[in-house]
Amino acid sequence: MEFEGLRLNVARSDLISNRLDYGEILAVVGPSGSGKSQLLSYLAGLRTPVAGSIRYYGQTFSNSRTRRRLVSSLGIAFQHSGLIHSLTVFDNVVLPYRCRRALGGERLSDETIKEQARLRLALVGVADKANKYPHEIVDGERRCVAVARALAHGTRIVLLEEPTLGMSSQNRTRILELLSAALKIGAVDAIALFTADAKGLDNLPTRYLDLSPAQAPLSLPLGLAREEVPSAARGN
Amino acid sequence: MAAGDSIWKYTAAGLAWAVVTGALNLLFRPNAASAGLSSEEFRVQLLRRVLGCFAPALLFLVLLGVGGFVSAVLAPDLSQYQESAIPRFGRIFLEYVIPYAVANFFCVPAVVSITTEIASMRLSRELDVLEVLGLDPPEVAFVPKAVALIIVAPFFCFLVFLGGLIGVWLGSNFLLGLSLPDFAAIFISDVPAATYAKTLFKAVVIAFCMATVAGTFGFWPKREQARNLVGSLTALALTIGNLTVTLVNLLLSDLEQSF
Repeated sequence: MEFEGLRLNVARSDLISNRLDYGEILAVVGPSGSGKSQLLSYLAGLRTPVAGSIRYYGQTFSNSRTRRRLVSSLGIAFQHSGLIHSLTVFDNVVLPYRCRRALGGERLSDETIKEQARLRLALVGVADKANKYPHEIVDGERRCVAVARALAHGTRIVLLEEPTLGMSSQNRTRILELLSAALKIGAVDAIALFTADAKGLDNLPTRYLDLSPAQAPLSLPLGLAREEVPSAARGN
Repeated sequence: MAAGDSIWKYTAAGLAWAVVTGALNLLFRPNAASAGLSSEEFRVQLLRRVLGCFAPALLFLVLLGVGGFVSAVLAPDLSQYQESAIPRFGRIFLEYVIPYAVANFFCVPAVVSITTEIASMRLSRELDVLEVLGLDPPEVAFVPKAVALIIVAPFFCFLVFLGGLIGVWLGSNFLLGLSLPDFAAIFISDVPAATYAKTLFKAVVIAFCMATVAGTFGFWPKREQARNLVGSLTALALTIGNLTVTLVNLLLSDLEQSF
């Protein structure tokens, strides 16, 4: 994934460019209001940037059909989890499989889909909540479910907004280890995290894009060492 | 606002068009593009709307029962009441009271429910998730609710009419002493056959307009806007919905007189 010359509607005029390579985690850090959510919306194809371009595997959102095809291979979890309230936790995790099948993706059998969904719920530690509805579980658990859904089979790039916010340290470690493992085994191609708290990312193959207003230049060069990230953003 | 082509589909016209195309999808290709979500939601909404018909029907049964009782007691001439007032009552009931009931007892709760639910889904990013998954948010979150509302509207008319008919019969029967079939024959004797079709058509049009208004305000908020916006949007949807129904009623009455 690559984005170039994006302009965020926040109080700064610089353009953002960066890329996410295979096997990498890109941590977009910055305080609230710095434009992380907006960048996420651009990358997910939910908004059209005022300026700049976004490319997935060399392709841009040239028309609605291409955009739909490209973003359907994204796994996404928002800060408010975005779980569909009328579906159970289990059905929420199954949802990407159903959608991709309906859109002509790989035709997994129902049994395989159920197994995969159960596995993902177990990996994020909420297997016992499978039959509950999103409003019946706590916020941290909802985020876990959202991560499980984002890691559904067929996901190539994962975009996670504040994935570990409000989680216990045990769950936070579990989620970060899971993301790392997903990258290592090639279950997903790359992960972009949008967070105000980069704590715990030190052990992952992470590059940082700092959107803090005080930072200049806004767009950090490729291969930025994590030591260069402001300590506040890293949660130290 | 969402990307590119999404701008059109969140307008009132886009949503009205989505009801037409989405209804065809629901009927003929329920699993095609929405991964079955639309048809599941449609079933839930259909049941919810059907169940929502019984309380107003019961209310009209009681209200008209009391009305029938009082008017029968006060009637100076019982034969005139039976031959003239009751049939006229049936026509007024069908032409004016039922469309009012459709708008206020059937569509208003639906407008509240549709606007609140969609606006909440928008603010909690559920609609964004659907969009990223390649689904069409209006087709999944709006069309099943709108189509269920439109389909059940004629059923609502029938139930309320039945409730009203039985209510008046119960209320006035102790004086008139008629059997229900005989009473029904008198009750509907002044009603031209076309009035039934007209009432049903009006109900469908009112439901369609109210659903479109509800959907428009449901999709109105931007992602960053606060959750307390849902309440004011719902209130606005109700106001505009009622205004729309009044205008539609006037328009339909005017058209009826023209032809």
